[in-house]
Amino acid sequence: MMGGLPLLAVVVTAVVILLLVLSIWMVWTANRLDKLHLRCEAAKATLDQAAIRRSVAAQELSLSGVLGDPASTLLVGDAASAAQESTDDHRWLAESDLTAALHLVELPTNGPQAAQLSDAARRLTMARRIHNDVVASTLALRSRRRVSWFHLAGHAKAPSMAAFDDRAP
Amino acid sequence: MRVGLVCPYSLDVPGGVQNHVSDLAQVLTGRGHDVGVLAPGDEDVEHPPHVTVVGRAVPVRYNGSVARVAFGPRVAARTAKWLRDGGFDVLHVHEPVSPSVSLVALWAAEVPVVATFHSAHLRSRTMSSLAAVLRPTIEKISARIAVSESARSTLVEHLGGDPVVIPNGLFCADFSQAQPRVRWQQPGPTIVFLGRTDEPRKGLDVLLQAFPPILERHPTTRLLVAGHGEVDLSGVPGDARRQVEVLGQLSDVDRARLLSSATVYVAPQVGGESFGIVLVEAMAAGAPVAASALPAFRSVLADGELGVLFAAGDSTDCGRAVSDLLSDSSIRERLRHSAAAAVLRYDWSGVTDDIVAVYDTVLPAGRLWGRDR
Repeated sequence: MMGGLPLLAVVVTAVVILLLVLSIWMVWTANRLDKLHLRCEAAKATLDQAAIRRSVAAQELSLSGVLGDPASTLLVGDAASAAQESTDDHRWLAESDLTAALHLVELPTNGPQAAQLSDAARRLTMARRIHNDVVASTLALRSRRRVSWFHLAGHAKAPSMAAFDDRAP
Repeated sequence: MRVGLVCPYSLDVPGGVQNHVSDLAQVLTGRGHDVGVLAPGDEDVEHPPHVTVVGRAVPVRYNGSVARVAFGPRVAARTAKWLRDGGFDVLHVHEPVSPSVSLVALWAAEVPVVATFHSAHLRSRTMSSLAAVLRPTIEKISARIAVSESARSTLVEHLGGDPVVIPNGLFCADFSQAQPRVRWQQPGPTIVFLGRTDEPRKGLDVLLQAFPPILERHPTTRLLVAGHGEVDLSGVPGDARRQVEVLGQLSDVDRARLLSSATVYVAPQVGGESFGIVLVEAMAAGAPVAASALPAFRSVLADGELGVLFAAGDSTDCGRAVSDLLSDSSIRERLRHSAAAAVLRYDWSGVTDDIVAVYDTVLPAGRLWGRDR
C-alpha cells in the first residue's frame, strides 16, 4: 500500500529519463547526418572543380598541337569538350571516356601542358576518393533504422558515389 | 589514274563506311585505275594485296558510338610512308573528321584530296573548340562529297562551303536478281526487319509493339527479324510471339534473298540515320518499303513516293501504315515498280562515274590530258 506511490514515481522518472536520453541521441544523430551532408556537398563541389580543371588541361594540351598527329588531337579534344558539356546522367561516363582517350594517345612527358594535365589528373583522383569516402559514411548512417523511422535525414537528398575511371594518364 | 583510298575504321569489322570503301576500290580497279587502300586493321588477318593496314585498331567512343580506329605517331609515320610509296594522283579520304588515319593522311597529303563525309553528326562544341588546330588540315581538301542531304547540311553548318552530294553505292543486281526463299514467303504475308536488334535507335521495339494490331487485320502475317544481337520478345503477347521468327545475323546473299522474299520491308529506326542504305537495298530487291519519316529516309523515299512513311517512334502509326500496305496489292505493285527505277541512281556504275568526275575536277589541268590511263 505504502510502496505504490514511490513505485509509480520511479517508473515515470525512468521513462522520462529514457525519453530524454533517446531524444538527445536522435538530435545528436541528426546533427551528425547534417554535418555529413554538408561535407558531401563540399566534396562534390571540389570534385566538380577538379574534373573541370582536368578537361580544360586536356583541351589545352590538344590545342597546343604537342600530341603529334591530328587524330590524337581530335580524340582528346572531343573527349574533353564532351566532358565539359555533359550533364548529370552522363557526367561520369564522359569523364571515363576522357580518361580512356588520354590513355590511348601518346602524351608528351614534359612541357608545361603535360605537367598541368598530370597535376590536374592527380588532384581529380584525390578529389574523387575524398568525395566517395564521405558519401559512403553518409549513406551508411542514412541506412540506419532510427534515421528512416524518425525521418532524421529531413529533406536532404541521398548523395551518390562518383563512379568513373580516373587512372592517372 | 592512281587513287589512294583511306578508310578510318577497321576493315575487319563490317560497317557502312568500310563496305563503301571496299566496293569503291573494287569498282575503280575494274575500270583500270590503280587503287591502294589504307585502313586500320589486324596485320595477322589476310587482306587483299591493294590493302595496307596501319597499326592495331583500338576501340574508342566517338560521336555517340564505338569506332575501331588507329592514330598516334607510329601510325602517322606509316601513313606518310604509304603516301610516298603510293605516288597517288588523287587521295580520297573517308570521314576525315574522325580520330583516325583519314585525318592523318589528309594532314600529310601533298596531292589533291577528295573527302567523303558519311556521318550526319558532328559535335559543334568539338568543332568550335578545335577549329584552330583542325581547320588548316580540313582546308587541304580540294573537293568535298556528302553521302546524303543530311550529311551535307551538317557539313555546311560546321564547315560552310558547298559540298557535292553523291550517295553510297550499291550493286543493284545483287539484290534485283536475288532468289526469294519459299519458307520466308509462305504461308501468309511476311514483314521483314533488318538491323541490330539490341540498338534502341534501330527501332525494333516500335515494330514489335505495332505487330499485334497488324495481326488483327492480317492474322496470317509473320514477322521475320534479322540482324546482330539478342531479341527481347517479352513485350509481345503469346499469340503474336508465335508469328515472330528470329533469324539472327545473315550472310550478304541471305540478306538479299530475305528482302526479295518480303511482302513489306519495315524500317522503324527512330533516329541517327544519315543515309539509309538498307532502304535502297530493299527497294532494289523489290520489297515495298514502310519507313519512319526521318529526314534521311524521307529523301531516299522521295517524300513518300517510293515508299510509305510513318511517324518515327510511333508504333500506332507504324501498325496502321504496314496494315494498309498489306491490304492493298496494287499500291505494293506501284511502289515496287517506281522504286526499281529510282534505285538505279545508287548503282555503283553511276556512282562511280560521279566520283571519277570529282577526281578529274581536282586534278591539275595538265593531268586531265596527260594522265596515263
